Amino acid sequence: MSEFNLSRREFLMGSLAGAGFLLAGERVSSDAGLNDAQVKSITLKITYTTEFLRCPKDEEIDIWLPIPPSDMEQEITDLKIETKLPYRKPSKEYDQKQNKVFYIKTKNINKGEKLTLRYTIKRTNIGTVELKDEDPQQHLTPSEWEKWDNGITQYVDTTVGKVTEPAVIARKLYDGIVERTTYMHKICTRGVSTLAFEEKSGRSDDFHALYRSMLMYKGIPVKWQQGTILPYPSEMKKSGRIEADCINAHSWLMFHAGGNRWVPVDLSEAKRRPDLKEFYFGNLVPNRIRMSTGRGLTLEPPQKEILNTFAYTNVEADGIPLIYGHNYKNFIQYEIVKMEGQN
Amino acid sequence: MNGVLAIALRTLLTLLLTSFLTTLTSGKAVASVKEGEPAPTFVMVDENNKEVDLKTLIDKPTIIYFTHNACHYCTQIIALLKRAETKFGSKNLRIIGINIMAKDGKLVKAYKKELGFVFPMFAGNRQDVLKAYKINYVPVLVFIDAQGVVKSIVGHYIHEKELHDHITDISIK
Repeated sequence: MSEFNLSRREFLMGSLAGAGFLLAGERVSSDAGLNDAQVKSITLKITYTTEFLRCPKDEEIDIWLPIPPSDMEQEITDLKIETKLPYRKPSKEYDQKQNKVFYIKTKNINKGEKLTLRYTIKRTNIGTVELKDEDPQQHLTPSEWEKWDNGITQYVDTTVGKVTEPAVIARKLYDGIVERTTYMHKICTRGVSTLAFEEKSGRSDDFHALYRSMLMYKGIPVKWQQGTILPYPSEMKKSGRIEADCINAHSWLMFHAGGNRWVPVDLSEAKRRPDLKEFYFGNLVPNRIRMSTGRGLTLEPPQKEILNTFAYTNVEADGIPLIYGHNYKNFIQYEIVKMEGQN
Repeated sequence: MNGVLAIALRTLLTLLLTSFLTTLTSGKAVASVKEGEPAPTFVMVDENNKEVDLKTLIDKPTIIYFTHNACHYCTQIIALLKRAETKFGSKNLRIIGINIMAKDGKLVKAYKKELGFVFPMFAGNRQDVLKAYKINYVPVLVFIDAQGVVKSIVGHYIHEKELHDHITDISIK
């Protein structure tokens, strides 16, 4: 299948032209091009592949492959794993948790061996979410990377003042962080709140570690969402492939606004796309896939090393993480099935 | 009035003594890395869990390279550093690797074996080291001259020519 840019006209006329994708709802683009903020949902066929380039011989290899969950924002269907390696499905108990994995224990993986996960995802921008069964208190414990020091608390106190309404506090801090933090390209960050605050720079994990630490300091529960981000709808080709490495990993947050309301925010994308700064306080462009929730996760069975975030395959040999790019690589291939505009 | 003065003096002396004792017990605070200033040094463990004082290694132009296992670009920089060590000679250039994922020598040993390099590497998953070098991401290369002074810090992927230019810069006597 040849790749081509999905132009505004093709996007609008897709269903009529029989190009394999449909447009529902009203006009979603302006004359200047497709408006990313007005894309309601994207349905994609995803092929996620981990390819082994070389593996240590005669060592126990443990592999954890994250399974994207279905929830109110994303619907996963036709999920299939393809591999010659013996895999274990998530247990029933584990299945009830927010994060799921396929687990493989093996030895002597051949060069070129692949693990492939295929599924269809319909990702929808639904804005603020009502979650009745979610206990907000469980999202008030910072990970080891989200501590707050005097610099952070002073900044929060000064910025927020005497305001007590969670959404207003969240908005003031959102504006403050987006304003003061520089976005960095082509680095693999650790997402440490104190360093992000001091250095005033970083990528998604740094923006969100800092924001999370500030909200928690103010007693506002906030969930870490981890996954990957694909090209924006306005830039997305009908099909494409990205490397699923630390550069393309992406995080965002949902803070508790009181009652059952959880509000999505993406500060780093608000920084990268100033035209979407208002949008990203309460909305997410659906060009993303959530793979897990939380940081410092303990997988099933437990991995040996600390896992900062869990967006892609985690591999250990005799309990030691393999080296990405040297021992293995991950890729995500996508194919647009359908895009819908806001009604 | 004399009584008030005596209390004030006693309080001041107590504060000074407390400050002095705190300095004695906690040791000298480690300064953050800064161009033009001495490189922060630490006693760190290598792949055999042997403790090494980095200060003893910075006796010639030195590169301290921060990396970890999940960083794709970092692996490519290891290849460039291996080539630089050959080109400039181990008598003229010291390369020190710090793996910020490693808490002990086990991970370092596996990393060195997989990537096949011989320059020293240390377990760098330590708050004091990460804070002193402000490591919130990798790759980071710190270029240090023979006097132990930081000449430059590069916090992104580096091309071979740029790497060699930095090495030449720290090699000027």
